[in-house]
Amino acid sequence: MEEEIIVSGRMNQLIDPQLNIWHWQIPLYLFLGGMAAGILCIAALYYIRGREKDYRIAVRITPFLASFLLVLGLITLFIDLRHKLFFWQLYTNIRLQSPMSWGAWTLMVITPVSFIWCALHIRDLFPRWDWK
Amino acid sequence: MRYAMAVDTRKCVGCSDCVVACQTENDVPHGFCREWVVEVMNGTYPQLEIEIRSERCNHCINAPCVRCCPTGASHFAEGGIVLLEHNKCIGCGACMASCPYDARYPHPSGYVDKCTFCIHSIKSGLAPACAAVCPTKCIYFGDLDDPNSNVSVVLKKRKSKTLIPEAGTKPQLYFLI
Repeated sequence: MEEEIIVSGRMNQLIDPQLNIWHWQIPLYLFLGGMAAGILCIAALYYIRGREKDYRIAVRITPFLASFLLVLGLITLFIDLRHKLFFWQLYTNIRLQSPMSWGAWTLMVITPVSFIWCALHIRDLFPRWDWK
Repeated sequence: MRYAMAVDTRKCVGCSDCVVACQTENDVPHGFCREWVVEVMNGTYPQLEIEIRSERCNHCINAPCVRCCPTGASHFAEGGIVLLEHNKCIGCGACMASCPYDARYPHPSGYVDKCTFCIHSIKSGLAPACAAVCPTKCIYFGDLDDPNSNVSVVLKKRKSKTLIPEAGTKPQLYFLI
């Protein structure tokens, strides 16, 4: 038998148990980010294999969703930070050993690119609009 | 330079003086702590043994918190002390999740906070608050690279152990058994 009692200092639900380090925001981001990644992967796959015509919705239409999902995910990530106004410190260095640094830089690249893609292909979404 | 601490579990009475001294010295907000006291009961009645440990950040050589930090706020300071730069911390909690010893807590101001081995005291040649205040003098602090420092001497003389060695973090908080 081994019994361990914490005698002093840690009788605090904010510290023990530390099951609540990350809150609902992170699972929500993982879901949204995963969905965006899946949409982009499938679109890229069919585009590269030249099946663009057969899968028009997957290649041309659904990638519009990805950028909005990413923005929603970014908002939830921001909400989860405790020291919010210092979030820009993520982009002052690249730390190869930190998974979170990888994620931050990946989002930094993918999100603007997905918006540029939306701007370039917006005509496909509303073909009947008078684009001039 | 390699700072380390040794806690004598045979001498510690679990009075929590170190906990209070730490909270006072470092202005730790109410309800939080940088160090704590654990009482472990082992065996079956009537062969019971009790071990009392004063625990804090282990200032690991291979610290997962420093590796996980996305901004470089957690870093190694002089003597291998794991420190946190408040103005770089975004409060993402990666370090708290990675620490096998649960040594970090979220400060109400937003950043994550932890034991610093009282680096401000060390710099002026004083002992950390917990070691200075211990009534049974069971906390030894010093430089492991110096063979004559009290922590090196006591670690050579006595058997010691570290917590969760299987995590591979090479902790620098030793417990004399």
